[in-house]
Amino acid sequence: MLYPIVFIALVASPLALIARLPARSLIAWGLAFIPLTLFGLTLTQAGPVLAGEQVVEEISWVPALGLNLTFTLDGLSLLFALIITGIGTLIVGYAGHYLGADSGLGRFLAYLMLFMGAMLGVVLAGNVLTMFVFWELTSVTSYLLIGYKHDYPDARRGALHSLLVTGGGGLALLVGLLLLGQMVGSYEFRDILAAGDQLRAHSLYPAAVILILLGCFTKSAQIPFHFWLPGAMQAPTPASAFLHSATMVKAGVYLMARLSPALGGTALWDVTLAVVGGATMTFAAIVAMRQFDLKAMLAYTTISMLGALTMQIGLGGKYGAEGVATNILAHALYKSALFMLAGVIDHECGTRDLRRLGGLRRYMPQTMVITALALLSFGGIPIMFGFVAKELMLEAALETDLGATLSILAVAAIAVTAIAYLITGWRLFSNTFLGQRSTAAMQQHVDDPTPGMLIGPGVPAILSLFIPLVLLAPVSTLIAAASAAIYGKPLEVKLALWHGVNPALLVSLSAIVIGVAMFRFAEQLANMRGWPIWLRGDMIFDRLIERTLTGATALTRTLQEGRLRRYILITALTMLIFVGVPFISFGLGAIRFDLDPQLQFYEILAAALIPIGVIATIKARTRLGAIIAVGVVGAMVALLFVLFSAPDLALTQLLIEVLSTVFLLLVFSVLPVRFESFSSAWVRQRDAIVAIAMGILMGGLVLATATNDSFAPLAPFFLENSLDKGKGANVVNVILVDFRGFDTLGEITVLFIALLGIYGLLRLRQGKDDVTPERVPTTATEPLSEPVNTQR
Amino acid sequence: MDALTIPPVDLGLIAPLLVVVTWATGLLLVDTFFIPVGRKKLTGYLAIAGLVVAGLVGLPLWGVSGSTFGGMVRLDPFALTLTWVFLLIGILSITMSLDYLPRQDIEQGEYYPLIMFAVSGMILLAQGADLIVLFLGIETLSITLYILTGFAYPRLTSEEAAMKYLVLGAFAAGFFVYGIALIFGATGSTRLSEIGAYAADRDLGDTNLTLLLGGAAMVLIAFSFKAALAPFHMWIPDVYQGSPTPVAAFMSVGTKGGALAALVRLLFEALPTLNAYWLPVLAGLTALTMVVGNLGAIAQMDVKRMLAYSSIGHAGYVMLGVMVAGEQRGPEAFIFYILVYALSNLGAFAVLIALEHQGEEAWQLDDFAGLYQRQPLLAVAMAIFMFSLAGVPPTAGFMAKFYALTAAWEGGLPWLALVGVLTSAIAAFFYLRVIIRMFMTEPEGEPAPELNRGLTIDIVVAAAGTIIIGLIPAPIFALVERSAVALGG
Repeated sequence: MLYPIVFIALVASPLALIARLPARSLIAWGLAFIPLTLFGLTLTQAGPVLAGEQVVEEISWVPALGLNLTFTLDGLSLLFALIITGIGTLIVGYAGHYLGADSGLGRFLAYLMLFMGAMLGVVLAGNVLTMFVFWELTSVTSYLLIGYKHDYPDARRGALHSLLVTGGGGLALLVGLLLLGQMVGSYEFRDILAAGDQLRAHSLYPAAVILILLGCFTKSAQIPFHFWLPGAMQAPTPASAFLHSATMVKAGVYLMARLSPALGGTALWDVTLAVVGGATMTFAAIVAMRQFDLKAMLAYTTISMLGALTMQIGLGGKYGAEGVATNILAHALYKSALFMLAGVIDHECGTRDLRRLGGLRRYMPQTMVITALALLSFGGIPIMFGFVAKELMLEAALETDLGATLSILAVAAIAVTAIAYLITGWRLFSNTFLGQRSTAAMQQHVDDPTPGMLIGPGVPAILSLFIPLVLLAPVSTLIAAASAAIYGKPLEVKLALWHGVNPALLVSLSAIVIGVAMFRFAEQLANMRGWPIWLRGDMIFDRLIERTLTGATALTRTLQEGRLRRYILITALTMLIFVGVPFISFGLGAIRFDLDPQLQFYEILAAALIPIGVIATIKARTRLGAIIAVGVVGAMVALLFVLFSAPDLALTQLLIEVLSTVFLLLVFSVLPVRFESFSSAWVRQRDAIVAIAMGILMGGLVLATATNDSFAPLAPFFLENSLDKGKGANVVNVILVDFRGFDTLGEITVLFIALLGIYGLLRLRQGKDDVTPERVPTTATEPLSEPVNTQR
Repeated sequence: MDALTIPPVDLGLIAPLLVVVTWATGLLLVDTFFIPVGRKKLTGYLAIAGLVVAGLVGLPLWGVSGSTFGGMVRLDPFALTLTWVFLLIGILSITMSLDYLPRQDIEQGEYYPLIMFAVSGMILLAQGADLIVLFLGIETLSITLYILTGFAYPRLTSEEAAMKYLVLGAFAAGFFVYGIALIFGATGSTRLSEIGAYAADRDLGDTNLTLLLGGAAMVLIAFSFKAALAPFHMWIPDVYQGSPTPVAAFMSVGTKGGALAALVRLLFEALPTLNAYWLPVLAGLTALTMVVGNLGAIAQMDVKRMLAYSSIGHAGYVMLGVMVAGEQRGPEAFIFYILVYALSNLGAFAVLIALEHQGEEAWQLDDFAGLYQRQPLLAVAMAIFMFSLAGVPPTAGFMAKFYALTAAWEGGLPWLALVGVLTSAIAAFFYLRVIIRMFMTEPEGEPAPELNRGLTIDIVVAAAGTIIIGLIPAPIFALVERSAVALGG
């Protein structure tokens, strides 16, 4: 049953496109039945899971790579799956109202469904690689959602950050997961979780932990990677409510919680999580308190809560596990409600700037009540679910095994965070609903939205109150199953509002008292300068990108100059190294200089004229001189061929020489009159050295090959057999028509085809004569040596 | 006197190659004499038909292994699968040219047979078991490409590109021939298997082995040049930018696939015993290629140039599979990567073509601004290609990269796999930048022309392939597994 749950969302997503039709809000609520069905399907599987068992399904996907589509449902997955589908139902319905005026709603909902499927895949995957595939799919689909509409001025920068940070983190995660798989020998979660001791003792353990944590921290916006999350808030509010509060950002937390029985229990894992999580929690809570944009405020409190969850995983123990599970649920409820409410306010008032809101209590009473409920849970006020969750967090801090210092620090951090939450909540409430409406906003008619739009935020807000009052028993079973998965052993969980007077309650109550007492100074606090603006990860990140860019540009500019001669130089140098090294290290073997005793003086003369011709070519002052000097080289080579009885070769060589000279003379007229070297002296010296080295190497190679007589030469065979078997006295002719007759036949065929090609070309030219190509007339004075393409 | 005996030639083993070559030759004639100017699309359709027929002719050859022409040409599942991949590359390239050529006013009938000849060169490279045949394949491929590069005459950049490519290509070809000569001098044979057998019997320090090493180094340089491994990659950006876009697309996957297919055979049939020498060298080149290609791509604001650099980077990833082709995973990863890269990259180039107006270059990043709002389907397709090239699941690119990295890791080159992962992180930056432009910014400038049929087919096929292979890779994996068996032995 797990497959359908994941794939229904993915496959049904195109169905959402019908929401482009009118009556969009109605259609959206109709579409909300899809996630609702998934919610129901998940519940049907809940029975055995709550009894402490696992539902496992497996299909082999790519067995060659160890990729199996394993899906597992245990307590933790169940909790997440219920949150995803439950909140998803509300979000889909809510989006119908929020984007009701927009014909793109269908597309938006289709992406949302895709995202939901990906997210369900992450939490239900029983194989780390399957999970990774879905993990990346959440990034990709979230991108479609963020890109749907953007109203922040620096939306692009934010989006770039979120993609790069989560993308880079994803790669780190992949490597970490691969390492895990290598260590355990399996990519299945159940095998990895069973191999905890083996993993912790492995030499690659630290590397794997660091890489996996990098992936989780980036996804869940932990310091110092927290900066991408507020930047990604330009998504339409329904997407923010879903992605950035209840689902996507929690994927990192999910994975850490999932792996903690296998990887936890070491100082590296526990302390890192506790410290990073605690720091993120406190820092983001303080920053949140000082925001003026509703959504930014919620974004930072989300980061803070993600930090709190991370910290609790690190603190560990029974309460840590319980705290994580409870806080995930509590946070998902109140935060999705608050995001949707921010959307309602934005939708009705056209702004979500706290400085321009106010006095809405008269116009939007229903919205106010729901907001108040959600904020009470957010602030951790007794009898709300948020309070129950916060108590468990404090218990986790008090009962941790990580030592007294960390325990005290954690309790202090939680207290500070709780105070900051209260002030944030108060500022949000008082600036929106209390006071007077600002004159600027007076013109607009403001009203409570249609009831349909309030269902979305209303349900989770009311649940935040109902769970502790009425539903505590069933929720406790769910939490027990979830925390057992995090803890690694079965747990007995009994959530309660009242545990008697204990240290946790005292800390909690004093935080509330201090927080409420500070309400009066809330605005001063928000406006005060000199608060932490350090840890501007986005600045560092921007600079990093900039540096990389300049570095890459400089590197490319040096390498990719756009000039042919540079390319040839580098090729030649590399060739010298590659080919030269084996010869230098092993020697060229027995090179012999067999001097022909009957060497004639004209042979020496012809050979000597070749280097002279080369030097003359280089040194020539006029173009004509250079051409003549090159001609001398060619002629001498041809002469040598004649002298060593290879007249056919000599003929070919001469033909080529004549042809190339003719060509050179033909282009003479279009070449610039000036004939001088454009390169500086040292460039020429460098080139000379490379050329000489190249010459020595090539010459040496020729010599080595020529004097290598491991094999019988071919020539005697032809000499002996040409008269006997080929019946011809001219060996070359016999070779051409007899010994290699088929080659000649092939050559003739090729020539024929070439002829046809040329004929085709000629016909084409004739046909096209009336459309002469437009050419830029080239002036003879302009040197054409500069490449056109100088772009780097 | 002995009767003249003609060595037995089994033309069946080169049936697809034969079909491509004869069809192309025939098409050249048909085009010249029967197809009027202005209706040259017909030639294109006929060329596609020829490539399809060649692919079909190959079907009964599946599972056949054998060599002919005195052992110079070999057919095995490895070659056959690559043949199909190359035919697909040819078909996609021609499809995207159908609309491009008339729009740029450079439509001429011989374009299509030229592409077919280039494909035949690639097939020959996959089938060649002899250095001479490999040289023949390389030159068939290169010479047609020199012409195709300059096909946008009289555009100056196109001419410049062709010139640069020709000069450097001839340089590399010179190395190849010289290398063959040295190898022949050292071992007395140009047959890959015979060279391998010869080298296996010799100890180091043997003069002939030294000569063989030198010759092999030269041949490797020539292959590195064709496959654009750094530092022999420099022609790529200039040439890709200058040449007609479909040609650049074809080159980016074609030369790489052909040259590296031949390299696999060369390394593991002729030089397996010398791998202590070439492995570190090639590993170094591969690492350098991945770094240079991906760093270079970051600096580009021109998407065509960016894709050129990215193709250098991808050559590095393909090499991961090539170097460990001695293990079963290696050739598998190689074939799979080539196929996936071909789909994604040809798709990306097709999108580039779709954005080009007549005679205008629309390759700047800003030309992609707001594409999502204007042509959502085009933008989504481009996003799929970019994600695939960046290696993000669930696209095929992820599977391919994962496969290649796993192959390298298991094949004893973990450090190189690590370099691959790191450079992938860099690569993500520039691919995603295109996506951001498309989705996050307001459109500017004129809207792109309407999509026409050939391009639409191309883009849809490529995008669908990229996604489907990413989601259900098992059948393709099964195919490449069976193709690699022959080589592993």
